[in-house]
Amino acid sequence: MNLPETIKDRARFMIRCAWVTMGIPFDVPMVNEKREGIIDVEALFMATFLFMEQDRMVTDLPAWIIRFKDIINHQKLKTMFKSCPEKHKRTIFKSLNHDHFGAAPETFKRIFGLKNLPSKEIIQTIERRSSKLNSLNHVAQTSIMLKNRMLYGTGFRADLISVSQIKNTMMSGKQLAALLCTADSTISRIINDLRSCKFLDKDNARVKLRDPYPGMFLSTQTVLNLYEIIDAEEFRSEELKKEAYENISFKNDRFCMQLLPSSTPGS
Amino acid sequence: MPTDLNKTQILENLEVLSEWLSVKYPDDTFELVVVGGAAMALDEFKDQTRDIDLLLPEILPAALKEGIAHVSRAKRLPPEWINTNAANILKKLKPTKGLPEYFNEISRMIDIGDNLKITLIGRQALIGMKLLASTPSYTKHTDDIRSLNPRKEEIEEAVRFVLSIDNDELRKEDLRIVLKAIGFDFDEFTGNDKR
Repeated sequence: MNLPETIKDRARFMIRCAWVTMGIPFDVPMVNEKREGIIDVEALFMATFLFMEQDRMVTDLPAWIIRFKDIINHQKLKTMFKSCPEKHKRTIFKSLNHDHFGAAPETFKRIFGLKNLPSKEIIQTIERRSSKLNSLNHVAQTSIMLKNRMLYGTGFRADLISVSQIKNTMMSGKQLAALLCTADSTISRIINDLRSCKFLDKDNARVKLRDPYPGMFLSTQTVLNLYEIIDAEEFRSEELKKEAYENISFKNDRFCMQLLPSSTPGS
Repeated sequence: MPTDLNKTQILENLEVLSEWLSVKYPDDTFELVVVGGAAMALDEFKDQTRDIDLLLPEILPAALKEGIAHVSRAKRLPPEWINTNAANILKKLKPTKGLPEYFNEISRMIDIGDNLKITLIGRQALIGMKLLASTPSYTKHTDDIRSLNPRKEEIEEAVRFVLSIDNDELRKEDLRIVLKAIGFDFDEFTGNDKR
């Protein structure tokens, strides 16, 4: 990865902040979703794996996955990983090919083809780290997406309800499907239901939305942008680099907006 | 937006495409068979060409399509700066006996990068394709044939190729005019005395 160290460090810092929102006690401030936008937890996984180092993330993330396995949308994570370009899949696989992730539940391991099994010591370490994680009660207060999954079940319906809490969303079914990394037909069915019960209006906007969220802090768009940014920095041609940065869309991605210096083309 | 590309620009743009492909698809290699004006420009038979016509691949793989689009935006080139129009025309008009053997001959190969190789089509196929594309009203292809300075046997074979695809009377009339413009007699090749 040719990314400048400053950008990598900044990305890792912001990823840790996002995990604090999800309940991992890193020593950084959490992302306040009400101010900075909603965090899509599966997109956060992908962003984390792209920048992972051999630090506390290696023990705390498996602990989090074990504790919160029922509120992880494995289908979404699988689709995200499947649609990931091969070269970035290798980076992700390298990040996960660590004994600690062998302790993760089979449903999680299957997505990434992980086969390693953890030693007794590793299991004990993860159990110790697990006790430091915030409770479901706490996480439900800080992450709207996880709260809605607890309310409505882990699935795209809950995620669509979360996204509908964004101010002036006005996204088409197709855009919502892309944002939530699922099939158009799945979103179309859910939208129909939500319109039928007057939860969404004809523009897919939430009826009587109160206390809205400003946007998405970290979403599928962030992951796509991160691929672009990593690749852009590998181009020797300034024209290709500029074109790659021009392709980056900050809609639904405050993470990359904050990540890139203002001098970067496209930012 | 520049409309014509010279040899240096063609090679530069292909190098940028090679770089894009190497970053995005590092495991893949690509080979393009170039026909038309680009093949002539790369062999220095003409100064400039508008686009790069491919004979192969007949259908561009997704990675190439994507790369062509990105380089087009990065270098401000027309979206179809590399295209398969020639391959499509041949596919549509393909002679019943298939393409002549010499369509497999190449004039030379250029390694653009470790992942991208281009092959220039052989001279006889190039003349045949140029004659197929020529019409009396649009002199570009006729001028290109003239620049290739073809021998009589090469033109005779090209006429045979074109007629194997289309031997309509209108086509014959067109060929008669085009060949006359480059100093050849169509009826001499077809054994037709009717002038």
